[in-house]
Amino acid sequence: MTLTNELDMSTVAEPMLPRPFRVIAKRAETHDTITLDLEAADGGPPLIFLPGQFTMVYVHGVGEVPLSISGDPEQPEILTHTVRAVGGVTNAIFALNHRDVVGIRGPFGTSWPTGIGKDLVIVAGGIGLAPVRPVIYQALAHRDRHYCVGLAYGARTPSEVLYRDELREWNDRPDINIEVTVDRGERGWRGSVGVVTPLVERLRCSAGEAVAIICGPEVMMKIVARTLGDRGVQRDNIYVSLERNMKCGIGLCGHCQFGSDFMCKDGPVVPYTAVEKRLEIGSI
Amino acid sequence: MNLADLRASSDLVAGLNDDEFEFFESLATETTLKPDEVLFRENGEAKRFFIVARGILALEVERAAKPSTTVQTLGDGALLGLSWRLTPHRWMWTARAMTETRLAVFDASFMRAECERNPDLDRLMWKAVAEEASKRLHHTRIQLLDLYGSG
Repeated sequence: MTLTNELDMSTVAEPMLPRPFRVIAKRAETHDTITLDLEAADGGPPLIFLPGQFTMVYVHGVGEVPLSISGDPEQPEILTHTVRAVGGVTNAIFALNHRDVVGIRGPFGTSWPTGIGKDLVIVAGGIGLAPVRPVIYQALAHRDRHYCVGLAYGARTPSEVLYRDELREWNDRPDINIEVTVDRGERGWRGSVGVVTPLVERLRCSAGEAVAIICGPEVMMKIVARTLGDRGVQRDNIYVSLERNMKCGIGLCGHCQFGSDFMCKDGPVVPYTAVEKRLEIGSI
Repeated sequence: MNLADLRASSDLVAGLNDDEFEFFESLATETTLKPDEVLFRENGEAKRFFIVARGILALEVERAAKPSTTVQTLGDGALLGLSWRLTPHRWMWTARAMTETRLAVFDASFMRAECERNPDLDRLMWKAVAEEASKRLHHTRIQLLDLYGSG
C-alpha cells in the first residue's frame, strides 16, 4: 500500500541531516499547546511540503520528534508547527523562544487527497486540527476546486479549542461551513456540546460527492469513518492520518511499522479502507 | 404543522408510512424559541414531546447559586423530551434554545392514550425513543472517553 506522493522528493536532499530553522514567531493556543513559525537559518530554500506531511524536529541536546506541518503550503518560506507539550522533547519545543534554532528533517510522508471536483468534508478532533489546517488553507486559496467545503471540529473544552481567531474568520466566510463542539461546556460557551459526528450533517455537503479527511484520536477516527460510511460517503473516499512512533522518517528503522506498512513513508495519511481492520487489532 | 421538511433530518418522520405521516401531521403544532428561551425545566411534568425542525437546544443541569451546565446539545431532527414515554414522566434536564429554534410539538397524554389503543403506534414510538436514547448513550460514552485529553 503506497500512496502517490506528488511532491518532488529531490527537495529533501539529505533526509538524515537536520537543517537549522529559527523561531520567528510563537503563539500560545492553549495552556499546553503552542504554534511556532520557523524560517530556514542556513540561507537555503524554503521547505516545500504537501498538506498532511510531517517533519522530524530536533531540539539540540534533547531529542527529535515527528510533527505535522500546520502552516500554509502556499507560503513555504514559513514552516509552521503546532505542538502540545506531552514529553521531554515537546516540552523543550514548548519552551523555545524567538530566535532559538531547531533542526528540521523532511518533509516526509504521504499527503491528504486534494479532492478536486468533490465536496471536501474535514473532521478533526483536538490537536488533530493541526495536520488538516494546510488542507483548509489550500481549499480556500483554490475555492473553485470544490462545491462544498466543511469543517467539523471537536475539542475537549472551549479553552482547548485551537486557532480560535482563524475559526472565527472562517466562520464569517460564506464559502466554508464551520461547526465546532466540545466534550464539556464552560461558562459563557454558546456552542455545541457533544461528540463531533452529528456536526457533519450540519455541514450541508453532499455525502455521495464528498472526500472525507479525518484527523484526531484513533478511536474518534474509527467512529467518524464508520458514521460517514453509514451516511453515504463512499468508503474509498475516506482518509485518516495515523501516527506511530516515527524515528528515521524514511522507512528504514521500522519503529513506525503498522502491519505491513511504515507510517513514515506509507503514511501518515492513508485511505481508511486500507487500515480499517488493523485498527481493531490491539497488539499492532 | 407541515412535517415534510423533517423527513430529511428526523429518523422517526422519515420512517413513517403515508397514514402514519398524516396522523403525525394532524397532531403536530409548531413552536419557535428565541435564543436563551427555555423549552422545559428539570423536574417539570413531561406533558409534551418535540422534534427539532431547525436550531440547537442545550440540555442543562441546574445548580444552586451557579450557572447551569450544558451536558449535551441537540440539533435538527432530534427527538426531544423522552421522559414523556418513561415514568414518572418528569423532565430530567432543562432544555434551552441556543439559537432561534423551531420545533414540532406533540401532546404526550394524547399520544400515550393512542399508543395504548394502537399496538403498531406503540411499537413505533418505543422504537423511536429507544433509538434516540441509544444514540445519546453512544455519544455520551464517547464523551466520557475524554479522547482529546493529553496522555
